[in-house]
Amino acid sequence: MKAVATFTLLLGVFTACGHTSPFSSNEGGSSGPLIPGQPAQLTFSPGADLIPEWLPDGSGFAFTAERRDRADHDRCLAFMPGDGGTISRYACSTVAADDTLNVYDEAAFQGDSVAYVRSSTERFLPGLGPDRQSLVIAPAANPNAARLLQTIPFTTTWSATYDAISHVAWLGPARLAFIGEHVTFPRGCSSCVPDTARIGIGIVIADLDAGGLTLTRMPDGDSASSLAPSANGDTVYFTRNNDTRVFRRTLSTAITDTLLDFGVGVARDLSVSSGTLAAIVGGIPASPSNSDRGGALQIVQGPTITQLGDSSWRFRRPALSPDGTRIIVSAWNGAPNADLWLFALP
Amino acid sequence: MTPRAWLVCAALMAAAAPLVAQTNGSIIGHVRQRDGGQPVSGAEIGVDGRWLDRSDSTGFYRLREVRSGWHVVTMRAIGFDTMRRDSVLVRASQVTVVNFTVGAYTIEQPIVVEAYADSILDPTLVATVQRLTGDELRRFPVTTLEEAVALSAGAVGESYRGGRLGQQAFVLDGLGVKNQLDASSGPLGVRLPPDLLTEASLTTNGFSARYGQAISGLVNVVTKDGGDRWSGRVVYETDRLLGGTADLGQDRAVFSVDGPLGRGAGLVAVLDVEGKMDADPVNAPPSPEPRDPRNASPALLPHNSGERYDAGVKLRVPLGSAHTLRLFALRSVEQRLLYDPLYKYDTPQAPARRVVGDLLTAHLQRATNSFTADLRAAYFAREFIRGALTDQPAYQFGAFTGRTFHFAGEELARSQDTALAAAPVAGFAAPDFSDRTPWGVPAFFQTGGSRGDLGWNRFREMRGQADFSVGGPRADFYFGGEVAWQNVRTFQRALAYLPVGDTVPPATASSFQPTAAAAYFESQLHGDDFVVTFGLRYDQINPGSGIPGQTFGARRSVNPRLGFSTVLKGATFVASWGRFSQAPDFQFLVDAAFDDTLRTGRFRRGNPNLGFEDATQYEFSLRARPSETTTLRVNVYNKLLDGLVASVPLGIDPDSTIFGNADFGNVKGADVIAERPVRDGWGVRVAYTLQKAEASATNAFQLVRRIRIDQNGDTINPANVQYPLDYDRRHNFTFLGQVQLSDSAGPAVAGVRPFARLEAAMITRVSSGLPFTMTNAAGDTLIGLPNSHRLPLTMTVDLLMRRQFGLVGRQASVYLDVRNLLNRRNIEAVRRETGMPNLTPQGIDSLAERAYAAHPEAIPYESPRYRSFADLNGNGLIEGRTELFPLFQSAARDYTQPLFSYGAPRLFRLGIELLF
Repeated sequence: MKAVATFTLLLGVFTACGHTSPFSSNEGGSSGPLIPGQPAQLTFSPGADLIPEWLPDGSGFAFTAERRDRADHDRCLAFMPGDGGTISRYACSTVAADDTLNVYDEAAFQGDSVAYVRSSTERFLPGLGPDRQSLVIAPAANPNAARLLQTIPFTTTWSATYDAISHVAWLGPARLAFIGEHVTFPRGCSSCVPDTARIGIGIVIADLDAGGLTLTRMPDGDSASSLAPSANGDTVYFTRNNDTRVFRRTLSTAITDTLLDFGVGVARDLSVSSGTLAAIVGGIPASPSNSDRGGALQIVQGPTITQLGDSSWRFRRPALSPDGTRIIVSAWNGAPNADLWLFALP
Repeated sequence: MTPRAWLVCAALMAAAAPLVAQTNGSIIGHVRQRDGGQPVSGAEIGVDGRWLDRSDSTGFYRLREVRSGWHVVTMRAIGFDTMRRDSVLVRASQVTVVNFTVGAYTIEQPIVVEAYADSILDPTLVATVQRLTGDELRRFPVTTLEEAVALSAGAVGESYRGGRLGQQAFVLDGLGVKNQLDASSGPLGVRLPPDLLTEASLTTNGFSARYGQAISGLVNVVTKDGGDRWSGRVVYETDRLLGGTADLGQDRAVFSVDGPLGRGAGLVAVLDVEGKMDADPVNAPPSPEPRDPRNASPALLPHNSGERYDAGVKLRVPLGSAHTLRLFALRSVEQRLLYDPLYKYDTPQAPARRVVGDLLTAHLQRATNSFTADLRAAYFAREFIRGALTDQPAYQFGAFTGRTFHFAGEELARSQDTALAAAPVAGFAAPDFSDRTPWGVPAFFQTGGSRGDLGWNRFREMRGQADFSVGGPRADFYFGGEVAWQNVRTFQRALAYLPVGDTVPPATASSFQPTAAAAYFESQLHGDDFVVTFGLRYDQINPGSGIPGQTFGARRSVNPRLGFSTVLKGATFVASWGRFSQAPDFQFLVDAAFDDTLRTGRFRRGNPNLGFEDATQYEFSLRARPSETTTLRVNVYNKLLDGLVASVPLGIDPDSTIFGNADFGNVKGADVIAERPVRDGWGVRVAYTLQKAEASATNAFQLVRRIRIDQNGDTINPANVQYPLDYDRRHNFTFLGQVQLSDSAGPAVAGVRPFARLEAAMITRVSSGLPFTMTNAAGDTLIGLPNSHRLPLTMTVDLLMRRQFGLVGRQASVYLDVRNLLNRRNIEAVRRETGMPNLTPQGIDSLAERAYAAHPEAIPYESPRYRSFADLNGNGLIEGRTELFPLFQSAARDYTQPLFSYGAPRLFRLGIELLF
């Protein structure tokens, strides 16, 4: 036994050290914007970076990024830290080969879930609209593991047909709201490439249950062009086509009123958080005869309305952080496609 | 055979005499009186407590079929002392001489016993055998049986005498074990822990007709029987203590025990486990790119670990005085993560492999000195799977994970459901270009999904074997036969993340039950100064009806073997001729799917009508003993290979081929082996092989390429084109040296003699390079003949130093095992288009250009591909050729690093051993 004990002791000496580890990649990416400032440019991609949406904890946000490094230019959900830097991950439909353009957009986060719209188009035989569109829900950690909520287009029980949806937002753990849209494909001339014009025609509230979705029409939401929910989900702020006003619908009381009036320009693309409201005002919204040209970014804090950013820039789809201190927005500043910019709010 | 030949056979059989058996040896000797040397007749001779023979009127006795190992030989005769010799070493196929010289009626007279084995001058030993005992395995810097056998002259790894992998057979205690499914490309599946061995040997010619299924060599191992007292060994070796580049993550532990169980029964049990963080380390130069992680840490490759578990147990049970039952079980598990340059920066998608082998044998022996019957039954199963893991294993200790790997699509593969496999296989995802490389650019390196390969096969075999020997004092006759029922199941799927279609070959599966049978006899004729050995073996293989495609019944092969040996002055000359055959790998009988259109074709058609592969070998051997302590062996041989399996095009489409018995070749060579066994504290063995192994241009790819049209428009078929076989190593030199210092060796320092009981063993190998084929840069045209270029010379020096010491009444030792002591950078492979390990700068630029052309798009700041060092103008975009192309160049240089072109680096292992 003494021999065994001594041997065990020696063995302990031999095994005390750990092994050297094999090499691994140390490419950790960047944190923060390339050039910090006010505003700070977060994305530089020649592709379009659109529709940012904050994660519930404010640690980061997701947006729809055009992947110029893919032959089919898929538009994926890209996740980025809240202060900018390197995209931490993409959520893409990459199972198919490069013969399909897949788009994930209109993401809305609630807890560990994300609801978003996914659509796909045959790349080599494209139709005028997407071949397939659907509203899905998935774990935020794995958006590809999605469950179908609603195929698009669809006709509701109140006989409205929606060709597309946008501005998906959570009103509660099992309740969504979105803008139902009518889509046209106008051509500037008989030989011109058709454009896509999406016109909001109403607000739909969708309740999730075991059987799927129960859709209801939100009263007073006709011709809505954007919406934003309050933190508790009881209030829906919305804008209407060709209207300068911002409306407020309180669901519990079924009362709709006007929150504010910008006076000039068309108001749209609302975002509301912690007492701050952001909207795009002015510009040329999409219509059957016009392409969308974006507008000015206006911030409303109490009675004060402030325009952010260079007046020559055009903005769309601002997203206020959950604490209301930062805003991320798609902006055109001369480049053919939009990049994301970060503004810090006072 | 002609009637005359049958007559010769019958004559030889009638004159049966001693001959070799691969598991057992024999003991012969005389019993004589001390005074006058008068023979003592009627003396009883026994081995290990069993009386087996009596001396004849000349005092001569002979004990047949004595198992290899150490034995107690006892002699008793009325009126004489009972004499006992307790350390007689019997080696397989050898004769050990034990003479007893006793003084009549005098108890006080000392006993004189001689015991030695002389395999050098013994003319009855026809086979060319190179052996290592279990004790030598422990003393040499070798870890596995395969490494030990590779020390033999004429061996290139597991290729012997120019043969390809799989042309050898593994014989365990007289029972053949072979991976008949894919021996040419896969491992056996079971590994015998060296602690189980009594001895291991490589027989390269003249092996007994008892053994078949081999045309290049027999690896013969004899396992221990349980001893008459309990003993054991515990070993642990590692490189943990060394740190830095010397720490390659190696751990090995061995626990072995053997002893008696009572009533003559004995038990041996061994557990041998090994883990390596890098199971295939390479001595490739560091990357010249500072940003490449191999620049700073070139030693260990990620996702290249391996673990193996080998456990064996053997039980010997005597059944009465003449019968013995031996039960043996062996289980081997090997799991490997496989480094793939494609997944250098995203290792979870890299492939992995698991091989599990089980061997169960039962051996009932009836042994009397005049008749021996060995009845053996064996079950051998081997399962192989290779593919992508469902999740990455966590290391528990070193490279040991302690859990079974799980592969994507594993259940589908086992079910062999090719219909279900036509759809994308669950668990597989399409790969994308990695963004974790130092270069960022979308090129070469992949992530997100594996290559999509899934391969699974299982081979099972039930084998029955009966061997009989009949003999008297000076004659033996061996005969027997065997039958094996086999079960083969295979499954392959390529690009499993895509549905089967135009560019994706269908999954292949097969399930069939071949049967094999054999019968043999063998005999020797003794003349006054010569011995003639004759054997005849009949083999039959039937692929069975379960195999896809039409088959034409059983294939048969008759293989005669003939040897002549004679004793010259101080030497023994042996001439042998033999015909050997082996069934083709079963993998060639069925279709195979590949995702490699450049080399092997996407689809190869199996041929269920393949026949035996054959070899006919002539050999002349001269064995001499220049002095009492030295031996010299010279072997000259010529081997004709015929009917080797080859890939034959079905037309001019290289993607469509079928297997056929189409290749033939020739191996000529000579071995010189000089040896001085360890005496007076040192011993050496030096072996040199000169060899030329060539094949003929029957590969139809080459034939098609070499067809020319002359000026008249006629087709010129190629003439007889000879080119080297893949394992044609022209020169091979091996030196094995041992030094063992005594207890009193060296000076005493403070009462301690640091050099006392120090042992050292060194192996030096110098080999000329293997051949390789060069092509043009596009890879579609050969430059010169196939295999007409040579790799450079390789050299390794391995050293094991051991210091023994007492440890609380037990013997213990610490040792240092160093492989490739000189850290020589041996080149084992080169690129076909350059003849060097590396791609040329032009080749790298060409690769980079193609990759850049495919992805010229700018890389924005927010992209995981963005690398600030490459954004020369700092505008947040890596754009344009100036900024992008250098990244593609670096990526191409990184991807084409010739890692596996180089052999292993210097490997250290510190070991501690306790004997009990």
